[in-house]
Amino acid sequence: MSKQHWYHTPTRDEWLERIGTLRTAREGIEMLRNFREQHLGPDRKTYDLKKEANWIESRIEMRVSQLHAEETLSDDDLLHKTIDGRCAREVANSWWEKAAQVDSAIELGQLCVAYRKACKPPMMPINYFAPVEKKLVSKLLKLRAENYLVTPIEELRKARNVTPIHVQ
Amino acid sequence: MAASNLAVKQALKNNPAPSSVDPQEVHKWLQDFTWDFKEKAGKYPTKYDMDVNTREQFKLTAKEYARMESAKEERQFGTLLDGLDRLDAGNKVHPRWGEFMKLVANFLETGEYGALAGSALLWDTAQSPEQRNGYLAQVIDEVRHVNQCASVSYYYSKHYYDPAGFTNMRQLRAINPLYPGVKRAFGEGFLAGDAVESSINLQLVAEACFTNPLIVALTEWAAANGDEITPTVFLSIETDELRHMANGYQTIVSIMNNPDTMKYLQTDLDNAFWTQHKFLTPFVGAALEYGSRFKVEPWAKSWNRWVYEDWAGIWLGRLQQFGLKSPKCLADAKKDAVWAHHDLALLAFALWPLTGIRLELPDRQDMEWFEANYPGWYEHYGKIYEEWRALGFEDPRSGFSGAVWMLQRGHGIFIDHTSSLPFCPTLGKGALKPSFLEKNGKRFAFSEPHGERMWLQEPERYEFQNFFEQFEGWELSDLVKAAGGVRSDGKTLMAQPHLRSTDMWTLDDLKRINFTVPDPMRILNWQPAH
Repeated sequence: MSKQHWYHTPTRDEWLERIGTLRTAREGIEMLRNFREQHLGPDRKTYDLKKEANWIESRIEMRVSQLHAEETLSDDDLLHKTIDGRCAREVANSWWEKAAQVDSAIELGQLCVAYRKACKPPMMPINYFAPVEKKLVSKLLKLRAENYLVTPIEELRKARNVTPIHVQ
Repeated sequence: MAASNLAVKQALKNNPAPSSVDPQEVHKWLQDFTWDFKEKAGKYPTKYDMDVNTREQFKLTAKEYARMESAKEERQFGTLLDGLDRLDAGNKVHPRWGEFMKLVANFLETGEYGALAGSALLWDTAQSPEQRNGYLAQVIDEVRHVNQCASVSYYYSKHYYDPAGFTNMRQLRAINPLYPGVKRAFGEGFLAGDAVESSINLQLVAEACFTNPLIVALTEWAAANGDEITPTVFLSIETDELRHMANGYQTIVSIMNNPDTMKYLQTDLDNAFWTQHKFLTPFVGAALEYGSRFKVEPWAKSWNRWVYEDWAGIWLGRLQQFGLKSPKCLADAKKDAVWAHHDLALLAFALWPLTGIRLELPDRQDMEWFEANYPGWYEHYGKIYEEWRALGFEDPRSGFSGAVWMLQRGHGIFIDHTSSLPFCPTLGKGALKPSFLEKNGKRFAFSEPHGERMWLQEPERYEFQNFFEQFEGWELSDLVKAAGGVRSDGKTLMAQPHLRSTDMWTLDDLKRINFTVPDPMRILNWQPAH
């Protein structure tokens, strides 16, 4: 019988151990930021974690939420402030203001990914995060759709920094 | 009588309570639900502005709806539980067909569930009370359809000679090579991305275009192969589809007042058509022609009539007034309609232990029919099947695997990153034009440029991890066991390469193949293309 198991892998176990060492929300925020930067989104630095990345992210998020809730006494802070204590409305709006200046689909796509990495809960309460993400994505969809079918494939490959390969 | 009761009686006599309400009167009341359109915004992103004054065609109320649907349910379940039971209908189905129904009923159930979520998403996006009423009726329909598809599996599991697979097919979703394609078309296609694009995927393409060939053709093939169960249920489902097609049309009407709409609509139509076609065209064709003993009309002909002529010609013709044209990818889809289901069937035979069903190689009678309707079929596919049969394809002691045979001869199997379906560049005759890309050390395979473009345009939308990436390094029998692909004795496989009750393959027989899952995108010698 294989040592591999359906729901447990050495990679998951290793990350659970690391997550278990987190003692403050601040440590957790740092870990979550780094993890999202390295392992998530189309601009991720590495695909080493393969399918485990989403699972691990969810476990870090759970632990960070727990630490944050334990350290935060006020409901108002939980509902209206980002995890590092800033006004959630102002932070969310500042992303929308940035997006207003952008008219390139590629750049706005990058901004949407950056917004998600920086603000997806528990970094920001969902009541502020989701409406602004909807606005950002609606604008991105509009920018992309106009030239979706006509931009040459070669141009798209270049914009996405991908290399065509073949078997030697 | 107490004084209070007398008072009530007197009050009712003076002001009689209505015993019924005119449904259309109720519908008019819906128009009085005045949402605050300035403040309220839809919940999901979209490029389009949906008109707050949009009308819907059916104007159904819950009362009318319930009366109509309860009559349908009585007929359907009455037939299943009384008439068909007495006729022993479950055991009159040809086993070839019964086996494919394990996939069809399950995949369609998944699709109906996606449709349920998709129409609810549209309810949350539209602003017109009438339009929302139309979507709401569809949500209720889809709940009904999910239950109906599940009841087909349930009925078969009680009455068919081999229930394995009807009882637990979804357990195999992690390893069945077709499931990711189902999730891509019916899951992601129906309920993610732009809400209007979801409507186009679900109502304008899947329902208006593909439910005719999927449900109407399929029930004809079912009846020809002794299956009275599927037509009883699926045709009842189909009676609701017209309402959904009307919803799709109404979605388009609701966005046409905005001049910006035309900048986006053609793109969404092209993408939605390709998304649905990539799964439905090969899968339905393979199910009809390889899952049957008794053949009806060749899939390519049905597809041409219903998809090419009826939908692309007549249905989309109605939308020409808005400037909408047939999708550019239609020509490639037409080529796929002839060959893609044969390509998919070849891969299904090669990967049979992962499918969860019993497959039977085409015999002489099938081969003659295939060759007569798809000239060139025998030279390309028929000879392979004959060789596989001679090498012990059906024999549990042979240690033979079609997948290993292909790999040893340089016929690599890859997974298309956008459609999530397997393809073989060297043996496929469909509209294949493969490309392979690398980014950040990860390699991606695409079977044709339409899918590659979709990924390049929306990379964050296609984060799919394919079978090879997930299970690289697993020994085949361990994988099938872990995924739940064995029967109640713990060793006989759910899937089999024949229909007999003898010589059933077990985990030990699978181990004899000695196959460890490779990831072709990692082990092959990939180099930058010049």
